[in-house]
Amino acid sequence: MEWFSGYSFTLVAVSSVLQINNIQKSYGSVRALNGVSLAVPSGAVYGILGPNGSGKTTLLGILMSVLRAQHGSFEWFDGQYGDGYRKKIGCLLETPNFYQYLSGEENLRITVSISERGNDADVERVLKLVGLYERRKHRFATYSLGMKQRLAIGAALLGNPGVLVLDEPTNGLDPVGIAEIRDLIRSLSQAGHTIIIASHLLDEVEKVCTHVAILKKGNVLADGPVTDVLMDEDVVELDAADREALRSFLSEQALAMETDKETGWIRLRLPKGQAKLEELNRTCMQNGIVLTHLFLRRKKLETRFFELTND
Amino acid sequence: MKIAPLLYTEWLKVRRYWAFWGIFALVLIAYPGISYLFYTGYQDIRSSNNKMDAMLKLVVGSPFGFPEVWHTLAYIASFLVFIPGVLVIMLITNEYQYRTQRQNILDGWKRDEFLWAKFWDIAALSLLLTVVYALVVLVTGFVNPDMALAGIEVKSYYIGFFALITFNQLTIAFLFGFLFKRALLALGFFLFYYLIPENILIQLSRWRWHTGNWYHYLPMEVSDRLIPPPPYLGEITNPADYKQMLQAIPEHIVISVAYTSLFWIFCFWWLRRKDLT
Repeated sequence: MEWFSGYSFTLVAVSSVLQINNIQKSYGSVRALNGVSLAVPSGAVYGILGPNGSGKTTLLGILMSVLRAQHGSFEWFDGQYGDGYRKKIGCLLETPNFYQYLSGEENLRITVSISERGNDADVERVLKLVGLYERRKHRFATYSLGMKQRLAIGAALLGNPGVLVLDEPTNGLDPVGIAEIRDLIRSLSQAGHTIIIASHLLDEVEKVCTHVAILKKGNVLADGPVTDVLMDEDVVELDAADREALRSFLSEQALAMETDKETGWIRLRLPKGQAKLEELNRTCMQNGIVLTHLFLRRKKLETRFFELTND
Repeated sequence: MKIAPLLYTEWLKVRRYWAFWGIFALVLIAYPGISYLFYTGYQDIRSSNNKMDAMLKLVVGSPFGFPEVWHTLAYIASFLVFIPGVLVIMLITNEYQYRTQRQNILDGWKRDEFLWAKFWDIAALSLLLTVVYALVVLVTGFVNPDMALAGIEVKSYYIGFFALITFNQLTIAFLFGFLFKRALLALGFFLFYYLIPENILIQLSRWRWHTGNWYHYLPMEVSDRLIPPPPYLGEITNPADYKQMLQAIPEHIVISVAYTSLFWIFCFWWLRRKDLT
């Protein structure tokens, strides 16, 4: 039984969820964020990626006003809620923080009281949603790491906020829990929620994110829609029944080729946006070459991530 | 800013916090307990023989009868503020220990609201302790055979002094918790400060340095001086000093309020600019 099934949503319609302008933050001589500027469109699942110490959590801490930026500014919801914007956002930042001596249920009631999101019925609903309903009366101190993480996710979901900020949401979860979180994020995204997610699990981010920003040492190396960030060039894979004829034809076109050692397929690297598969297929056909494989390959996020972050 | 939602959230935090209620019970027992101890001690001396009874009546008056009981018990109870001080330190250091101070902000409180919640906690606790003090006074006064009903309200202004001294000293306890963040450290420094440094400075200034009365204005001392020793303790030993002490009470009220305000302003200023880690 998936513990997030049956989720329903209410949303606040805004054109822009978050605008970040030139945020800078230093800890002594260490520059944690070096002029970060990003825009998070409404309805996006926005992944913030980066190696340890890249500034992901610092950025989220600043955006949630628990850390102070030295320079720069940010604005949530076009500024319509002023300093009260945090009540509109479900947030899990770093570790789950709750009163150890209180039960999961009592802790969620405190979240409701502060955030003004949800009510008693909602507390019961999210406890069922995150699979903690049976343990709701138990003290938080007795929860496992995975249960604590689920409670924190439950707290973020109280009142169905239109925006979620999740910092490493799969920490402490088992593989089933990780998959459930991924599906939950997809469900929320499909319902129009905006989700900002910082994670070091590239595979997870690639599966769920519509947008991504890659940070390194406080600098944004790349940001935008996932397809744009991942595809810095067009890589076209192709093969033909007569592979040698294809190879000689491409040479005549003065196109640089590589050969995949495993499959033998020919790989062309073209400037971004210049691969026109239909035209390529037609030209080959006109020259008597029948293609058996033609594919515009997207780089794996992991590959692109290492390309960007390796010195 | 609405006070009721802040206090309601704070209530949710302590409602099932049994360690808190355990210490709170100690506080509730301590106030009438210490009053009863002094009261029975006084009665025992008086009843030991008639001569002593007459002499005590002459010199001491009726410390546990109205109206003097307001003063007597305020003076005695003011020594116990360190016990609710432990509660205050628990309330703030828990927030650091569990990182819930940060979580409260993430959940939507403004930093100022977090501090206002604590401010109202301390105000509510001070009010509750003042009610306990007033009840103990009323019970003691009514059961005392020297009761003079006509004078019940005469020195009831000590209720205000007691409330102020309690709020002032609980604010100092809060300040220690706020700055040191760890319960044991904060508690240790608070009790150390409560008992030792000011008292050493006072004694050195009075008996060795002879450097005037600046020590009257130390944070704890100035609020202590709102409730001077009852006349049978203070006036007998040094009538001139005692008179001066009584005359300085309005000034000490102002300074106590100023200290308390300053401490809170500092906390607000500090929290607004700090990173919450």
